[in-house]
Amino acid sequence: MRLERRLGALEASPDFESFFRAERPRLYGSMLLITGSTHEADEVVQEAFFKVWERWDRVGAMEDPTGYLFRTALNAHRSAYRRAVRAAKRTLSPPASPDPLAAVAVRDEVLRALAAMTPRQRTAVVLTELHGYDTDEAARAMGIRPGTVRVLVSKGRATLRARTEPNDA
Amino acid sequence: MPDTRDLLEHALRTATAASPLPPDDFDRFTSYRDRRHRNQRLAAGAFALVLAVAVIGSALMVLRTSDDGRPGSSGSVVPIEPGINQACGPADACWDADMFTMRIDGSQVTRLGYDEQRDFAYSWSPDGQRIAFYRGVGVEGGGRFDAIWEVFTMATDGSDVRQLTVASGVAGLPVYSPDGSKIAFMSEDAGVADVWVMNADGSDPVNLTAFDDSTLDDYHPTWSPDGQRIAFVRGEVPPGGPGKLWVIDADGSNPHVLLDTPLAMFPTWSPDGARIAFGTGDWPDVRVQILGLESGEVTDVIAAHLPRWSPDGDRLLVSIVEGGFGIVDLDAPNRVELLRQTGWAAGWSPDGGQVLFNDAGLTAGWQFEEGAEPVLTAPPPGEAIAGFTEGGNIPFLVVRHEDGSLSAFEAVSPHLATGDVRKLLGWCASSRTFDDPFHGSRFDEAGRYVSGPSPTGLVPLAVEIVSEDPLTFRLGAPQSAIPREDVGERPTGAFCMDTQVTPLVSPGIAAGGLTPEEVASTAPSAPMVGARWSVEGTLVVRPDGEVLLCASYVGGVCEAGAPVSGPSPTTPDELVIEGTWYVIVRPGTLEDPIRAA
Repeated sequence: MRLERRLGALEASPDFESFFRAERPRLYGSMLLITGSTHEADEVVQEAFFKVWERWDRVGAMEDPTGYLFRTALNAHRSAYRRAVRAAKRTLSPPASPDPLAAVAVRDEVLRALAAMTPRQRTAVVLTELHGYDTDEAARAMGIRPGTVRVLVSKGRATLRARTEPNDA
Repeated sequence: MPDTRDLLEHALRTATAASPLPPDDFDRFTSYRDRRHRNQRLAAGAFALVLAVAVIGSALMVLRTSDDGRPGSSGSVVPIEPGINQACGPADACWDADMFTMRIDGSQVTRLGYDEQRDFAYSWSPDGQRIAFYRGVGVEGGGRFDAIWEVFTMATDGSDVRQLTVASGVAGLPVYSPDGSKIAFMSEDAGVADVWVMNADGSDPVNLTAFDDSTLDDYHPTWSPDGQRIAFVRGEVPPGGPGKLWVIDADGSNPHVLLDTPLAMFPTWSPDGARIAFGTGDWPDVRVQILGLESGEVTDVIAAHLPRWSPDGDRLLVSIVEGGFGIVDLDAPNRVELLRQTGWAAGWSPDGGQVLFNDAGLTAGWQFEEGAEPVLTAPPPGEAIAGFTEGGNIPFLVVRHEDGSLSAFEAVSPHLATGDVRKLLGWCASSRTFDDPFHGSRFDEAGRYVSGPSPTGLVPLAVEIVSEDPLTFRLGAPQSAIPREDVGERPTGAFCMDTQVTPLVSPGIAAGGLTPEEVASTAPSAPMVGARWSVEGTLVVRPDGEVLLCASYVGGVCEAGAPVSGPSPTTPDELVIEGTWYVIVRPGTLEDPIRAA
């Protein structure tokens, strides 16, 4: 589809903006938990909405556009190649401003526990426990087998419990 | 004890309180969206402008990129954005890649398959028979970021594709062992990225780097030439942290840090086993360096990334941040002989005669379904038409020869097709040549090389004749570039172009130089917008104000030099600076290379 035509059509449609305003807080919060980084969450969310916007004529008609949005955001977060490059940026260039989330994460035991999980454990736990995705839905969003999701959630829960039980605090 | 959901709700509240959403969130998004579109429009405008300039004095008829009422093709113009390799397609900047092989002299570019998958070639089997690659399978509609990567191999002619990993989420970066029996690769099958090894047929995968329970990612494996060890990168991504160069025995024992550098990427073990080249640095200021394994010393090589050692150990194939790749002779480091200015390099053939690379850019997204390209009406004999393919990706030129037959080509100069905007060719009716208005490469109407620096002739497009009267046709797939050895006729008519490459500016000049950002902001306003690129060379600033850019500068002699205009620094003594220099094209007079010869 031509970009200008799409731009015009979507400017005229209130649906995407409504969708954006309704879904962004939840997506942003989830990506904060999954990525552990304000900047990463913001970048991934912007990119995910851009991708959805590009395809809004089809995505808007889907039964579950929110699922598509989350899937797109998770995909944005997944690319190992891209993450490696991003890590290079972070490692060698101090951030212009400290990440406020990092300061909180040091003090908050639940955020610390989330940080101790693997990225896929974090993602699986957030999708299933926070957003109520069933195993199949989470598997589709993450691009992995349902059985793997179950394993990841189990391990993630165990990590969360171990790190937040009073004896360990 | 609160349940898991309670804990996560608490974490969500805490996180969003620390990093709240900005109140103008939709405005921010529209700015982001518009910025991306502005890039796309800039690229489109650049193409249109370059194309317009290129046709001065010619009979070129440009088919406009509208959706209606025109007799030809076109679709949207290629949007190109900065990215990892600047090899960008229309929908998925920098990621919609295809695989190619090419002789190291730049000739015989061969595409390995045509599909809509995102295929990333990564290594050549030691027997030269197969190529290991990974494929991104995206979510519906595709996307820059793919949901699943899997490892595949195929024959070097693109046939016999075999999938080696299944549903592992992310599996990629496959590297054949020196004896060809194994493949090391990166997989997130265990929940975090690890280096795995499997048999070359995909059987018996083993996680090699599960030697602790850390959340660190392990990736970018490379085999020692004796096949006994594997070097890799261990990094904490995200949320970011040190990415060190590690090594482990091929049986999974004896892991240890090899280089405690802030970050290493894409290590490649030298054929003699004594060195490891790797990328490092703050993107885009990445550099290739070499670690001497015995001395532990690190030697800087060049501003580039993704090094791949030649089989003879004398050269490195490196990729350029701005796009493209080339060869560094280690006897003369800090210079790269560019092979191509789009895409990125993946490896050498075992005999060192070919390179394997990935590219997207203008070649991405070709539609090959029956009838995907519209039926075009041929121009009258002796004339040409230009436009963009329906997929919006490939600018084309179609010339009708005097005998009534047709030839179609990608309208892109094979020489230094820039990462930002390709140099579009123009059709010069008076000389009956396709001309590169920037560097003067010329090609006859059969697409054969005539003169100039181009490493090859043009890339032909298949032409399917639909009707004879009137003559109509449909464009088809790109073919291999015509070898430079196939030389065309010397033109006799008037030369059309009137541009030249002149100014140069650089961040390296202490006084009066421009920063790369300033260069970037300057280039688009130049009349020949888009034609900017970086080159490796030596900048010589003389006390009398003369400034030269030289391919090499030895003993006061400037080899292949060019005078530089732009900011003129003052210096009491001659100043010689090697490095990367940014070049901008501005209007001038390009001397006809044939007449000059």
